[in-house]
Amino acid sequence: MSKPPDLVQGTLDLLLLKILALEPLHGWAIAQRLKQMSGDELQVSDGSLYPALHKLELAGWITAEWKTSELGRRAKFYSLTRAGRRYLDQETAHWHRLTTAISRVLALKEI
Amino acid sequence: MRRWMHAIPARLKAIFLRRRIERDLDDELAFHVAMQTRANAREGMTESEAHRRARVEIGGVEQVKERSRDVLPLRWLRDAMQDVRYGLRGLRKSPRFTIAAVLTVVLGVGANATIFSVLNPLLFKPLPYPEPERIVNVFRTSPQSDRWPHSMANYLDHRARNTVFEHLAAIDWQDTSFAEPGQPAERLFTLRTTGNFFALFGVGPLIGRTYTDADDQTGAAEVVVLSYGFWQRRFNGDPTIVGRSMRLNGGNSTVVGVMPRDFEYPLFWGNIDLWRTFAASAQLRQDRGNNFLREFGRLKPGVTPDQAEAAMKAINTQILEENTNLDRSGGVRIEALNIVNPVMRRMSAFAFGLTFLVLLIACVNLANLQLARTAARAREFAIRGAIGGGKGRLLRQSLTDSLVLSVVGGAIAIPLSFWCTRLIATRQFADLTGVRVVLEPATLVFAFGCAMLTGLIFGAVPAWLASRADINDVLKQNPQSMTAGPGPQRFRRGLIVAEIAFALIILAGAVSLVRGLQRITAVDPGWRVDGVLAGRLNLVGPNYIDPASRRTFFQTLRDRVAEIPGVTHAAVSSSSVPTATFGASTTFAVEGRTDPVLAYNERVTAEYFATLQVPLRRGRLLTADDRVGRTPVMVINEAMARALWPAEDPIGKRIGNRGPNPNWREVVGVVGDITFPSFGVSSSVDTEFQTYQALAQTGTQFVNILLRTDRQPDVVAAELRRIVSMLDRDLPVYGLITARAAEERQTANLRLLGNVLAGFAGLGLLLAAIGIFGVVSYSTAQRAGELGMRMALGARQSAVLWLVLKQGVGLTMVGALVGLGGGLALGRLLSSMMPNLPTPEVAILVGAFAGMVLIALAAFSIPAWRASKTNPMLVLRHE
Repeated sequence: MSKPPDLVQGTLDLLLLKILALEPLHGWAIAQRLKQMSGDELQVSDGSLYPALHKLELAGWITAEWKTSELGRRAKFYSLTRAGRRYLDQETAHWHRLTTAISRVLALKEI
Repeated sequence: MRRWMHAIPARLKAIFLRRRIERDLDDELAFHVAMQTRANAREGMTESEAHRRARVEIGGVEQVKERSRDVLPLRWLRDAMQDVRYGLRGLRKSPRFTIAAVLTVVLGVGANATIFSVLNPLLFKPLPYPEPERIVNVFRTSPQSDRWPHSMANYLDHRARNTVFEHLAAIDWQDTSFAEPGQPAERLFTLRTTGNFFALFGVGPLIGRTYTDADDQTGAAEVVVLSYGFWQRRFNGDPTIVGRSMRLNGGNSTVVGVMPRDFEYPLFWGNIDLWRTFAASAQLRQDRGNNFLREFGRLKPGVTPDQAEAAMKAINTQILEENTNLDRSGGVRIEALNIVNPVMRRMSAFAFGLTFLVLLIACVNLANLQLARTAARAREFAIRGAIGGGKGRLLRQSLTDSLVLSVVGGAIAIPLSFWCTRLIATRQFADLTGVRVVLEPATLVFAFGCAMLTGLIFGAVPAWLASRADINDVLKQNPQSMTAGPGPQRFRRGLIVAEIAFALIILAGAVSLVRGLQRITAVDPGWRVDGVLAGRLNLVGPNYIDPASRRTFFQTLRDRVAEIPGVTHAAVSSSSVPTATFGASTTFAVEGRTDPVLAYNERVTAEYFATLQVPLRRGRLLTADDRVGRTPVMVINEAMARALWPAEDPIGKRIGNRGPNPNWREVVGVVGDITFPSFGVSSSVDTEFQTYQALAQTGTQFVNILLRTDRQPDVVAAELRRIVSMLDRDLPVYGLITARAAEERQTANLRLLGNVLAGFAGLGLLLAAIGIFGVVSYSTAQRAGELGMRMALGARQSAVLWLVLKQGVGLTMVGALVGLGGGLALGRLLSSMMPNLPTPEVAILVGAFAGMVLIALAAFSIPAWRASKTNPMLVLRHE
């Protein structure tokens, strides 16, 4: 089971949950949103996206539904579950604490 | 929690809807590629370039799919299912191996579990009483027997003087007549006991109370405790039964309690409807001549049976010193309480040992088959290992193969053994209500586990070794002659030898036991069993208090029964047909001798000998003239006459009671001995002396009517019932049975054991044959290339046949000789365990040896013959 190479472990999950917290989307749209939002800073290959989404689905954080898309074709739309939203809040807070702590350490001046 | 609920559909889908998952995955990725293609095209790429780029950007559709599959749960399960499919395919491809292995599992596991389940309740079920190991029998011994009953006076002395027992109780089986006003009388199976009986066995009542010593006083109000079965059957489990009065033997008794179902133990006690106290009369309490009580003791904690026996012997000596008229040779003996008699128990234990041997053969079979198969697949494993098959994965594959085999075998064996156990339970144990013969799941699991473990060890370990082998070494060898190196080869031959030896040991052991049992059951009983019908009457109640009225009753009865059409002879006697034993024995005094003589004491009417066809050897039989007022007479058997008067004419000698009033009876005739079938296996020495007195001169409370007829027994039985009810409406005739049926019931256990043993012998042989056949045919198939080459080079068919067979002959002989030695040793063990069992005949061992050799050779020659028939061209082309 390979991880997205350029992201801290678990970070991709967090980003995906955040994106889906805004609105239900299908895979391709999620990939586009990811590129837009991170301003191409974060390199996520499209290939890593789907296993990550399926893992979240199996974990129960998101659910999937087949709906007709803008192309008139059936697409798999992912949306956040209530448990997923709680998990997102919890992980966001955790993330803030972690980054603050790390920033604080990095901000120490060398003597 | 809620998260889990959301996850459930996706997970279930992942497990059960794999095709659906795959389709979804395809669709989802196709959609992505389409969207990306459109986006790329909008940036000005050509259609095909846009599509290609979209596929590249996603990182390869197949790769993504594989990574998504990794995310799915239970990857191991999917792998395992693949292994199972592969394993099944492998089994289909080598049917001979499969059939041999599956049959081995079915027979070794299924049959063994069944047989064990049948023996188990007889062997290992503890008695349903607390601390059963402290409960013992106290027997009286004499030079003639070591299992005799006690008199009431002796019992009371034993009880008062001993310090080793917490409780010492006495019992007697006495049937009771239960007559409710206006209803036909019923005969109840009754156990009369001393008041401390329930305290000794340590089980409380289901409802009400049990009785105690306080209820067991002379003149105390009669109380009874009902068995669960009787309470349910007769009173529909009436919860208000306690306090109810029952009319028993013409008197009133009060029900004080009902015992729980588990307290009944028919295997030991027989069927019991109710328990009553003795409430012994003052006269009975003084009686030392009437020996009818069985004593049971519960040892005090910490007292061993040996200590108790020493203490009881001392008390017995005291009693003998105080009562000089008692038999000086009488002793006491203590024996642990067992349900089955010790000899039966030992035989069952022996049969149980055989189950292990059969299981062992089954395991050797599996080991051998697996080794042969793995050796043949060494090349496959080496190649799979070389091209990157993980060692763990290969190991798992061969483990799965073994498991698949076991499961297929188990799927047949388990239902089969359930069915067989049920069959045996209903066919053989229908009479024994308390014995629940059910398949023991633990047994099945154990046998199955053994088989599985063997399969795993001998299948997986060599496979694993093979996967580690240097691929070059393996591939360089001729693939078809690839059996195995000399080491494993020798090991496998060793296994075949062991298998033949084990099978022969089982065969020899089982056959000698079965023959022994046959000789015991086929012993000449000394009377003609066929055509005799027997029934019992219990002459109790106010009408029969006077001995004269009893005598009148049974004379009338006999005369009326003799008039039934088709009845050639009819007699009345104190015991039923002598299939197991006579009902009573007495220690007699013999005129002119100082030592007392213990002998069966049968009281019969004159026609008894004609009815049973017991031959007269000397003097005369009893006649209708031998009645009250005439000289008291006695007929004795040959064994007694020979032992007491070896050189004299026994006619005219006198035998009587011991003590001051001998009441001499004159010996008027000598008849043939009656032999009981259980003599051979009984652990005790019973008396062989049999005496017959005229019923008209003695009398008895329990009357048995015996008749010889050439008509259908049930027609005659109905007539008999009608006659008895005409004579006395309230008198039940019970236990109507043909002598043949009574005899068969007596030997049922022995016959069952014989069948079980014969089954074992067959099973062992069959397993050995299957094993040899499986291994040899499999390894011969592997040698097909070599054999084909030989034939192509000009070897004749017979030469090839001999090539294969030669090895088999050697292995068979070695195995059979080892087995013969084992069989001899087993025979010696058997005769030391059961000295009364007829010694095994040499012919049996030789026969078993020859049979085993033949079967083994047949198992060898079929594959050999097939190998010699192969078309060499076909084989070589295959190469």
